[in-house]
Amino acid sequence: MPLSNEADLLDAPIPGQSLTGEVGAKPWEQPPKLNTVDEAVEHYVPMFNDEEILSGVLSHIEDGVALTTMADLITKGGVMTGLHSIDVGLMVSPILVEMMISAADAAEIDYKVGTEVDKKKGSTKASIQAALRNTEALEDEVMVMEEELPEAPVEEPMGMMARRGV
Amino acid sequence: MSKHIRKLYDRVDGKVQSIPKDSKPTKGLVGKRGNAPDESLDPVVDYVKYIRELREGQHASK
Repeated sequence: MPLSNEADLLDAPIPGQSLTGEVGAKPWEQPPKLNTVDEAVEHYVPMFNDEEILSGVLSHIEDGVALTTMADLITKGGVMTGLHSIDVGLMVSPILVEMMISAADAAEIDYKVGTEVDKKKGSTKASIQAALRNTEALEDEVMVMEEELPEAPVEEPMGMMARRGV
Repeated sequence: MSKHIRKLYDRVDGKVQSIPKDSKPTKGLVGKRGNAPDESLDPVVDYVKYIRELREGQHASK
């Protein structure tokens, strides 16, 4: 029985399977309804006036979901339903992030944009130099230890066919 | 795509912050279509700048 977190390779899509469907059957294969950033903004901005949508968005922000991730999900949904192309979705996403910042500010909710540098993961110049210094110190220690080690005795070959020193 | 959005947002944020504060306010979200396009300003930067101005209360009197 396969483990639950392991991908079942035999159940994966066959390469090229997406090309076996009828062309134009999927919404994203149709011409997009919104062709410019202006049209996409006119579609998305009124969404933030809908109380139901706004409360859902705010609850996700409150849970700590990054705003860029939310914008990604919203625009991907738009692409999937054939509203706009990926390009227009990408262009409109900073505007969505800004709208969500405004909504979170108005609701006095802490938010995470997603562009903040993680102090634990981020590597600054100082951290790189400190890491290099540590590595150099470690290399010096290893060199000293290697110098201190006695040479291992060379074992004479014991087999019948082995060459022996003359 | 989230990585690209973060990069784009950073770039737009930098452009908005580099615009001098005493520059004339943008025309806003309404009535953008049909207006003569301002070639010097990226529409995305324009929208983000307008939303920020709105948030900071610069358009509150309107």
